[in-house]
Amino acid sequence: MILLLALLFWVQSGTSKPGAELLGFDLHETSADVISRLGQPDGIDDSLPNYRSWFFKRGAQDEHDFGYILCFRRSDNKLVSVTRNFEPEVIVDHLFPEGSFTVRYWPSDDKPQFGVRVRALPGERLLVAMGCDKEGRPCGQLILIHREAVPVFFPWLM
Amino acid sequence: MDSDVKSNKEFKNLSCGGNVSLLPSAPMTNKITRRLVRLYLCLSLILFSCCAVFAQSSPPSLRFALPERTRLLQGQLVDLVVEIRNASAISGFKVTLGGTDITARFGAPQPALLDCDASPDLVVRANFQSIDGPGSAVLRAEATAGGTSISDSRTIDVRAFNLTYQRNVILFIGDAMGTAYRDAARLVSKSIIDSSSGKNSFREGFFDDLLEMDKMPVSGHVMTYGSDSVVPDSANTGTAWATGNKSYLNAVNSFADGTDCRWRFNGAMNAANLPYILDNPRVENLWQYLKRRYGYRTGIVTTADVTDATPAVEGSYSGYRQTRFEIARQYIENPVLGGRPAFDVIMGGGIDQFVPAARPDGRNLIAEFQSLGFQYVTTATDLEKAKQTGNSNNLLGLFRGNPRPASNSAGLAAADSNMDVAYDKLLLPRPASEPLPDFQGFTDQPMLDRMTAKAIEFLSGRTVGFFGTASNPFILMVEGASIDKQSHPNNAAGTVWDTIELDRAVGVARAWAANRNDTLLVVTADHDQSMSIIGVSNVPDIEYFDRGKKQDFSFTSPRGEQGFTVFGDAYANTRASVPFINSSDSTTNKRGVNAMPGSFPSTSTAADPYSDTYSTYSGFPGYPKDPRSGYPANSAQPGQMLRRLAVGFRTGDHTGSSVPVTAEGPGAFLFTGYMDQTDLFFKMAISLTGETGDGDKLINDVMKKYPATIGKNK
Repeated sequence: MILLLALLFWVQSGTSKPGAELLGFDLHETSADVISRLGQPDGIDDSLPNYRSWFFKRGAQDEHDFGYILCFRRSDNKLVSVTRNFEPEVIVDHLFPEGSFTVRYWPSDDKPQFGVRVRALPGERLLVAMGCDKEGRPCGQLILIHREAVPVFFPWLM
Repeated sequence: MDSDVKSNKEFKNLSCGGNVSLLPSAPMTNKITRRLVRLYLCLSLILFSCCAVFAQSSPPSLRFALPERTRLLQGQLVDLVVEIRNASAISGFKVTLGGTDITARFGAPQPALLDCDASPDLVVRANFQSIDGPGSAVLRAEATAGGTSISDSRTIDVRAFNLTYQRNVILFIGDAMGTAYRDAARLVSKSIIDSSSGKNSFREGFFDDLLEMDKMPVSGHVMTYGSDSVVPDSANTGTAWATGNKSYLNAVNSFADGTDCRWRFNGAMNAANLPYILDNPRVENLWQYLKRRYGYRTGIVTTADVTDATPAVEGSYSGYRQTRFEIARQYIENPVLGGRPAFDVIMGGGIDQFVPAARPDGRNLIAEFQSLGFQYVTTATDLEKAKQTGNSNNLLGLFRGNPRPASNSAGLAAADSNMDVAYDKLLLPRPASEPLPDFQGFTDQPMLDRMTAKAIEFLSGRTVGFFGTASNPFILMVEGASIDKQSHPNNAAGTVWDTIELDRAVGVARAWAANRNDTLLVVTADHDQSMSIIGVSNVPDIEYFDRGKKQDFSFTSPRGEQGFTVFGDAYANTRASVPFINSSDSTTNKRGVNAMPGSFPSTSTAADPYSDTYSTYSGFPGYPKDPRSGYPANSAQPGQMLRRLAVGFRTGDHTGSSVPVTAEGPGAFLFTGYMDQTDLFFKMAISLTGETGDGDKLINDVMKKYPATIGKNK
């Protein structure tokens, strides 16, 4: 089942601060859908042969990383991933209820150097909290990615 | 999630191979999810394997990961990286430079996944190569893949560099210090009301005295475009003036490559992608070039975290500016210098990036610097006491950290710990619309002019090196960082006072360099921001800073109805698409569009004796001098006059406008006219190598014989 609901999650209390909101995506959004929700992108990089990226600023402190980075596949304009960078970092535990996620490590589970939480979502999506394998710690990067893009972008999650 | 579980049961017995495991120690409740995920990933692998088959049908290609317009100095190091796409094997690989076979410099082809397309690719590298002779050098690579001949070439412009003089370079970077920022600093710091006579040092449109950077004899304009955008950031602009080459947003002395898709295009900048962030082709900066080849002493002084982008481009190489732990590591183990420290003097904030409490590798870089003979200071008081000694000529000053250093979740950096801004270090009262300072215990931070003076003292001291036992020449970068950092949130006072702080540091260098004739001083910005001097007037503080005073308005644009809220302090918070508006509710002031720049009755001291006002179209700003610091004060005592400068911000981010550059000293005349930012690198280099006497004499004659702006020669 393909979910068409675009849910607005408020990450934690006090998320009315600029730059802390989290928009939900079903990864079936078109470019027009994205523009209607986030406005025109603040930056576009189309220098790759296979992908095109849209960058969106969020908040006055958003000076180093873009708040949202959306990656489209060129061949069919399909949205394959949405990255949300939080500055400052926020608690995202409520997005990973107990039993809903797995914990994985880079470069491998045998040699853990960098941990992530991975939650399977309907619509063949994975929600990945990068570097946030432990609950209760602020997180700076969430990536929502279509499963089919995982092998090329994050082969160590295979 | 219930639907997920049901679905999982349907695929309970499916397997994709015993080696694939999502969570070896997962509880039972996770096993179902794990199997489902495994199934999907396996299907994805099959799908992408199919893609790979199609991709292999694409013709193989070969390209250098170098910009089309690569420019280098003679002997400047650069990574030569050849990317071969859609091929799992090649034969007949050959690279020539000016017709000479240099294939032996390259390693063996390594498998790679370029462009995230799952096709088999190869990368062949020759790290840290240089071209010895000046002129145009044709770099060509060729190979055969799948029976197809593939090739690529670059024509590299190599500039001669033969060090002739023992000259120093001090480069001042006002981060985001565009023309209006220099103007605002002048209008605030040089419009001083004499407390006894009441005379304004800015009157009749002339200043009694100008900024130190104004007094430099040569000026020009610098175009700051990045390789991928009109509006750049501090990393790729720094790469431009530090290496002579353009790059993309966030790049630190590195070029784009085919593995950037792993992180730059999907935003996954984190420790798991560090190998792909650090594999970008590197190009040597002027600091390492001069130190490696000629024993120059090198330094960075900044009010930012010392691993921030502007200082980073003098001492490190990374595809992504926020790899702060790696940047700090390269400061002490510089790859170009064979693992030796990049600098002899480092000063600024950023303790966190150096300490084991935050660093994933657990290293204590501060202790390691100390073991190499660096003196380490953390306060202004200790900085003043620091002196060169026989076995300790180098200085590490880190004056700001966070109370609890910790890595960010991405595993690349600790939180920024920039030094507090000049306005706060001076203990001037913040305007009500700007955040109160929080020193977090770091209450004894030096001003930038004192840091600059101490850096020059250490760098110019006698040492043993390329030039023997005499004082070695040095190259130093001094950054006023929070001009930019305060401009992002539109904090006008923080921005303007930091520009004044930088100007005082310029004054220290000018005084030291006067009559030496061996030191080039260059003052410029990396990029601009949107502050401008605007025409509003007569808004008392009580209205200006009252967030309760706001005005909602809307208009119809081609994209539909646009609604905005403009607060009383709109000048400081005007964002993109919102016109500058004086939205004061005061009946005595004009409102809305009627308050756009126009004619206003002057505010006389008789009618408005001591009120806080903002002036541009009527009268001039006038500030009392803070007797303790000598800086302009931003509040007035009863009986004193205070008329503030009105400024506005169009956005909270960088702009693509050209920025000014001013220069003084040998070779300064090179910095006249419009130029690209990469030219700054070559002009600084040429000033060290070329005979500049005639040009220098001409500039001196012009300054002496022809009329100068009032205040310029003071």
